[in-house]
Amino acid sequence: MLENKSETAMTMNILEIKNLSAEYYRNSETVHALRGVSLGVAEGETLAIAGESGCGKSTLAMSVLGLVYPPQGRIISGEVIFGGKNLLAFGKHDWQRFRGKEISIVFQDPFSSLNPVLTIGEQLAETVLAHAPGMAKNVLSGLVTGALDETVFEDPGRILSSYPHQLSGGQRQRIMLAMAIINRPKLLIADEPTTSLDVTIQKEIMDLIGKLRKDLSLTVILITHNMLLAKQRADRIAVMYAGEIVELNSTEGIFSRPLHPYTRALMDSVPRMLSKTPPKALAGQPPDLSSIAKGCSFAPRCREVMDICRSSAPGEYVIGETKARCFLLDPVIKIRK
Amino acid sequence: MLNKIIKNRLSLTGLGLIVLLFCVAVLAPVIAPYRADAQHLPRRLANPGHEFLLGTDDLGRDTLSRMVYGVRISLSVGFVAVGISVLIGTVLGLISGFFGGWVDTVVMRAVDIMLCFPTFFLILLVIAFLEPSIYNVMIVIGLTSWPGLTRLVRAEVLSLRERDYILAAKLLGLGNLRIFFVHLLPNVISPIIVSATLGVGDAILTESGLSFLGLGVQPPTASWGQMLSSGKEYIYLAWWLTLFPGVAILLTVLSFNLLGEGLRDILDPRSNAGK
Amino acid sequence: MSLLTVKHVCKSFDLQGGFFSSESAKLLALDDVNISLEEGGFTGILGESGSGKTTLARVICRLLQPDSGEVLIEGRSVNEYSRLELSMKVQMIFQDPFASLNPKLSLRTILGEAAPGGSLKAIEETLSLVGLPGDALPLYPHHFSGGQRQRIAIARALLKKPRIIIADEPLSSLDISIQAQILELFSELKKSFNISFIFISHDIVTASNIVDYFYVMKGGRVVEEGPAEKILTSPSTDYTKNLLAAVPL
Repeated sequence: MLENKSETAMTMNILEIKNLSAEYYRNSETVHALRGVSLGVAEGETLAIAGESGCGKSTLAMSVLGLVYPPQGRIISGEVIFGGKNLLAFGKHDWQRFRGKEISIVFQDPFSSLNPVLTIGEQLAETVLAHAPGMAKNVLSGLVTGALDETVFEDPGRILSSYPHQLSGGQRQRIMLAMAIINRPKLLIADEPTTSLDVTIQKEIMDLIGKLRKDLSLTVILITHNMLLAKQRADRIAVMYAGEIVELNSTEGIFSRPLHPYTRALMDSVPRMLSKTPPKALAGQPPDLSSIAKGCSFAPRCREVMDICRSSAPGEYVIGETKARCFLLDPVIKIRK
Repeated sequence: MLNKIIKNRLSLTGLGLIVLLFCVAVLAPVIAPYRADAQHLPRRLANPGHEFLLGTDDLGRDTLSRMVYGVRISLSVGFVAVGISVLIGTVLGLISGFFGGWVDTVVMRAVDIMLCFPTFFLILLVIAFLEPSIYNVMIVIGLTSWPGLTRLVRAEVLSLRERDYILAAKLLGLGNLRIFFVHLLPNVISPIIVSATLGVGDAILTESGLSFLGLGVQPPTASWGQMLSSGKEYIYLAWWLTLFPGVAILLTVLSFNLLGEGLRDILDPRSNAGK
Repeated sequence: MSLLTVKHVCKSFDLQGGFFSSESAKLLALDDVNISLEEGGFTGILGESGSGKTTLARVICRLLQPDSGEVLIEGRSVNEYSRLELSMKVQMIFQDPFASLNPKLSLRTILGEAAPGGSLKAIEETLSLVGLPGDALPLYPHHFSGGQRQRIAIARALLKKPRIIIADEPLSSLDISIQAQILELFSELKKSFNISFIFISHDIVTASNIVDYFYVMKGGRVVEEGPAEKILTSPSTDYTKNLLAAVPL
């Protein structure tokens, strides 16, 4: 039976990003942080956006939450559609009702996201009241305690009256997760949620995100620079480099057959247990996005670079559910080579 | 850095006014139509007009000329006094913050004691014992305004002391003196500059107050505060004798404050303005 | 005789109990720590935050004085060396590449402070060793990326020609692909220089690619030690096992 595949895909996608470009301004320079990013996120999946600093992954998250605006930055073009609504057309009031309610975000450093002079209970209550002012006290405290319960706190009473500085890093991050899910969002964005935490706490937090996803039927976007973390926790992975998505595939697909040279180089550079020698490092550094050079942005560091890569930028080559931005996938160019 | 000053409107205005003041001070003999102490007895208490642009005082001296020469007094007092307090404050703040221990305790108690006295009255007391003169005024203001700066410098040094690059400097085997001057001082200098700039305005105000009370610059030298003092007796007859020096003090202090605030916006890494 | 011996070192810090509190709690950062480093060795100190590894590093370089115990370098207590002499025995590379270089000094000045006699030749040679171009000398730290700054910090340490280099979580603040580059650099240094390393890390897998011998620390104590393979394949404490299990593979 012939299905219109794209239509089916669209009705199942909770978030659809089409050709999004954004820039921000720093020290009188313009940084082209996002350059034509297109991405669909299916309801209920865990999608990882993997890439290094400066690749645009955080800017992408900020764009989805309406946090890229003048004078610091600007969305130049593209669409962001969530649940049928065009987010880029939202005004200030629309965003206030939307953020924290439909889409929530958890950041890397929990300490700077928490108000040091309010107790945890007060901050959780504040999060609820922002979207449901005038809620009855007993209902409110029920929600708050419930949130702590869901984020696996053994002694909610003590936590409720504690201040952020009295808690450990792992506990603070769990509070951030509690604040993120208390209003039952449909989408949770976790921007490097474990990077500043110890490795054993990292596992706890990632396990918790997995649990919350199941219990609350969440869709999760996980932003990380650690490919192995993405491999362990995500259904699909989008690899970003220099403001573009260079490869998008299922986790299994990416690890068994990485299509883009950058993805391959990233995987090669991960240390392996019991190896006596360090992994093969990728030389050079990510490009400075304040000046966009001609050609493929990865060409200067690519081990498989061809002449054409330096003069033209590759488009996205789609193969089924996979796509990659590399001339190596172009059948015509391959023949010529 | 100059670029940043120009972009920030506050500091640009302040800087512009200060440059203007400097020019006036340097070119005083050229700008002033008359000598500051020249008396035109037939034209005492003359209204501002085209002969005497800002009028004359009770001895027929041209207000404009006296004000122009007064710029020299204000600026020199401001800079010398601040120079003295910056020198003392920075040295004390550096050693107190870096060494800690009993050195820190001694310096901080000295600061506490100094801050117990209302500064102005302390100055009054000292001047009352010495003879009032512009030099005494400069020195005394300088010697009483260092405590605030000491605390400021000490606080900065305390936060810098544990920075990795200071630890690295110690590990490289560098001596304390080098660490002070090459590693600590350049990183401490921003708040010092801001404080010093604001301090000039403060010093000028203090000098004006002292001269107003007759304890600062003595007649016939023209200081704005002193002009205010002698002018106040004629305030109903000759309003120009108090208005113009008063406005001059206001504008001068304002320009240093504007520059100081603007510099703070630019230099303070925590603030977002000026970027 | 070991190059470095740390014997029964204890260190605790006073915690303030708050303005009206009269009690002052003590944080025991190091509790009877014993480690040693042989010539040519590449030893790792593994542990989570709060395990005391950074405090240990600082005690070894004499940036902190222990409450009890001693630190011997080449058989002599570190307290017997002058600041300058000690600088030629042990150097440190810090975790945060954005804090370990003085932002007001040029690269030339920063390295000039470390080079013997400020020799330009030595500076240029060392720069090429760490993979930085010679024409970078007039630049300031803010012109460089995190990975490049770590290279500068490594160059600075190398210029003193120390016997021991302590690297305190040198990779933690870097991106994955840059971590691999710096790890490669450490590996080359290990092969070409007669310098012994102490590599502090919380990432057991990355450290295992380069470290020969591990000390595992928890709560200020050394809970386990041994050759790298043994620690990885048959750890004896639950703590080490948890560390291994928590790493995504």
